[in-house]
Amino acid sequence: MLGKLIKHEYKATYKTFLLLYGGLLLLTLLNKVNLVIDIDNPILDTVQTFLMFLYMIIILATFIVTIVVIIMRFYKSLLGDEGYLSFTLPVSAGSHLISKLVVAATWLVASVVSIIISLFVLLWDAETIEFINKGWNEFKNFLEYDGAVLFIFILIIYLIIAVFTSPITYYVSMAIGQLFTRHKLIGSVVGYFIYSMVSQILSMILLVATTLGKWDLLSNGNVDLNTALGANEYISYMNNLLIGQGIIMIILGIGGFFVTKILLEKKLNLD
Amino acid sequence: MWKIEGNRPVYTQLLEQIENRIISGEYPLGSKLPSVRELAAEAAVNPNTMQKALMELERNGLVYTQRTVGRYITEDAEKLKEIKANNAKELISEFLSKMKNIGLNKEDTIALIENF
Amino acid sequence: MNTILECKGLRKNYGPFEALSGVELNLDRGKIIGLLGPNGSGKTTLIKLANGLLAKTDGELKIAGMEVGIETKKIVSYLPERTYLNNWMKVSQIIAYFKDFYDNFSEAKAYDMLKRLDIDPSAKLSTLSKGTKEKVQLILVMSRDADLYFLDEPIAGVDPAARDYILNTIITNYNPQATIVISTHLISDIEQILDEVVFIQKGKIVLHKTVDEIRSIEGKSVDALFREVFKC
Repeated sequence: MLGKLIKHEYKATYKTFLLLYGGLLLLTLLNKVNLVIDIDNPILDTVQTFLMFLYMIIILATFIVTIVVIIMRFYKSLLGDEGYLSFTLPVSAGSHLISKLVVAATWLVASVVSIIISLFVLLWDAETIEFINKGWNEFKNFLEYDGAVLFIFILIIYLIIAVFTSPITYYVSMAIGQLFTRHKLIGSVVGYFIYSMVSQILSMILLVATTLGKWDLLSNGNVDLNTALGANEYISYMNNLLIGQGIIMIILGIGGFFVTKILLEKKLNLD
Repeated sequence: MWKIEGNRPVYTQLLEQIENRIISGEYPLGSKLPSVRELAAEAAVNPNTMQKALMELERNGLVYTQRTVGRYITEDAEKLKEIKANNAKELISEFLSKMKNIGLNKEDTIALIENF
Repeated sequence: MNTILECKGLRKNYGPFEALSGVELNLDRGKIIGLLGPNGSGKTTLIKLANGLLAKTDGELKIAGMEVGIETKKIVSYLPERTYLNNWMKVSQIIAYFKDFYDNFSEAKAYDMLKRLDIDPSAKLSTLSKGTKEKVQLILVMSRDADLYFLDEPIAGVDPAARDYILNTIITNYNPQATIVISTHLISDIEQILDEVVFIQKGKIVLHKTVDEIRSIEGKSVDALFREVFKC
């Protein structure tokens, strides 16, 4: 059943993203062509500026549209009139949530990757290649330090966790919002605030706890990043920080997931 | 056309109307009746109600069931005459009492009929 | 087992408001039942509870002996009063959707009914008129081989010819194992296809009789009795 839900989620969303990424591709290529053609012509200059402008808009749009689609899919299919269809299907509220989350995470990753690729293509030239080579060498040096490989590993996991838990922020807000029959929108905003508050406070506490342990390290100027010892200390601090923040994200994500699930199971308030 | 009125039980009305169709020959003697569901759909009534009416007709001997095949109208012409006679009696009794209400007795009524 | 729906002391509160205040109700299989009551009497609340769209406050509600959940949703088919289908889908897509999630959905039946009502399967739901959308919803619901159907106002706002077709569909789909609960205001139009009627008022059941009982004992139609019982 979960597989079917996921399949339908993709079906419901892919056209929008196809259009979006298509537009991104088009503007990337157009701008690239423009950058390569280096003719001095006032009309061409205007066109170039205009295309650059459109490009920035579509980059912005990619971010915004991705988030809007994630929010709207949840709202329309579970809390709007379609909710009558969704919640009479023989599937659990949990399955609905997971299917939405999985698909949301996929599009988040796809959008970010698309933007990165687009920027790469745009900026790809002799200078960039040299820059990348230098960067790659620096990176290989970095990996020599203690805990550096671990850091990369933790960073990747952290990003994965972030991608999966950020839609939950919106889901929980909407699940809380739908409780207020007449003030669903305001309720959602309230829910969002509460969830963000809790999230900030927990992160803050952990940040302080982690940093306190290394306060002497960071404040006394004892850390000389150019020395191996200093750098190792700093990397280990960053690792602890990421792990801590990652754990908080997981806790909040799981907490948010279950709060949403229970609200949908027990406190569903369709019009 | 089936006509169901609001203030009398549905099944009695169905009973009467089927009986009339048998008597009038619309459902010929010995013929097969459509299924309960078809009849119910035709009359726009609940199949359970139609079933009830048909079972009553079976009890009266107008209809019989041949298992796995369906329901048939009786072939018994005498039965039909009997029902006709009973219905006629009822109608006549009703008629005469109405005539009585306007002050005409049985003899007056018969005279009027003969000159009709 | 012959009881398809059983309610014992069923309560539902919305905050301080008691929408259902102790409903006692037993519905048997193989019946077409009218759920009748004025607005705000608790009809919709009861139906939503049976469909798992609301959680009860207290009491018991069992369908085929089971608590409301995934297993009961498999055997209950619901036609809400509103249009609840996703507008961006085509008719053929929503049929495929139902087929995907419901084992007891008959694609063949659905397409047959669409053809009879002259509805184009490749049409997008958003392009259909309100009346046609409602017909599609009804077709989807009736194409499921469920044990309990809830039809909320199936013939309101539909032209007389379609109304006849809908009533005809309900009759010809009759299944002695299944029960159809129809909630409606248009009592006189449907009372002759009902086996039983349930009157609900202020969250309580005030009457549960067969149509013929009411007509022979009270000597009036269900419609007339309703007007009496619920006189304003």
